[in-house]
Amino acid sequence: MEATINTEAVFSRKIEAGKLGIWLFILSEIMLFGGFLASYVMLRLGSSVCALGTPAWPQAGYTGGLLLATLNTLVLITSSFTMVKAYVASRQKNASGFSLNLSVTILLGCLFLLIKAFEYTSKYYHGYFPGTEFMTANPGLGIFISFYYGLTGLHALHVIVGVLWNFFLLRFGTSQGFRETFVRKVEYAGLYWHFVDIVWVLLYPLFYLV
Amino acid sequence: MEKEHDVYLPVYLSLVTLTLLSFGSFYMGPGKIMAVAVALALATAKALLIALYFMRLKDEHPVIYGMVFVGVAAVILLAFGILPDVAVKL
Repeated sequence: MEATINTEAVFSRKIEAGKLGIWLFILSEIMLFGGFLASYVMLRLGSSVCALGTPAWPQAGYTGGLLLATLNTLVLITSSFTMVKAYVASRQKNASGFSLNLSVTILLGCLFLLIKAFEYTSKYYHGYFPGTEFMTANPGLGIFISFYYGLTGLHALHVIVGVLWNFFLLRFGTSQGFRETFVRKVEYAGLYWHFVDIVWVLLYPLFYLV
Repeated sequence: MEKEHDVYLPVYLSLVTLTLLSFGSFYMGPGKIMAVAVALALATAKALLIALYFMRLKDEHPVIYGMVFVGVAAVILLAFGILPDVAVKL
């Protein structure tokens, strides 16, 4: 009944250079987003007002973009599911399954960006944008707005990169069939896409639910 | 392979359920400390599910685990290392 782990076998497994590379890249991304998120959380915990004494954060009950953000969360989670299905299809050399699932992933990534653009537009018309009358009357909210546009914009840039990466895999990747090197490329693109999903999952409560 | 494939749908459905619960937590009372704690706990659970199953971190080499740990630990240290200073001001 005693469970044993063959540690020698675990540590003697080789790591592919490509996989090590993509995980190192993800590590650098954790630090990039983590630094911004840590600053945001500490500033928000530190004071409810800015140096001018006016509120620095939206008041309780602020629901700006909550429905759209929830919809976007569901869209990205679904795209992560189809991405992992595309990876499984590539391993099984299932060309139609791979094309279908990766195409859906790309379309869902585009849908996310479309909803995000709609949300930005809505925020602009409600005055949550630098230079508007509302922001002039509430200068402290500039702190929140800076973090909001900075972090969601940076995340949207990552989504654009992911969509392009998946598009190139779909358009040019399968020309030589599902060789081992191609399956690895799909895996690396998937790891990146899932990481982008995780970032959004963490941004969602911090900007919309808190 | 077949077993690995089978786990993705339940994980996906769990993620959808947790997202809807997060949305519901907002109506527990926006800004209230309990609602914030619940929303952040649910987000952490979702991030773990994605990392462990969709990114297959649970089957990865210990070196990969170590790299992710270093990154997450550094961010936690960065965030909570200055917490005492913030707490004094509260």
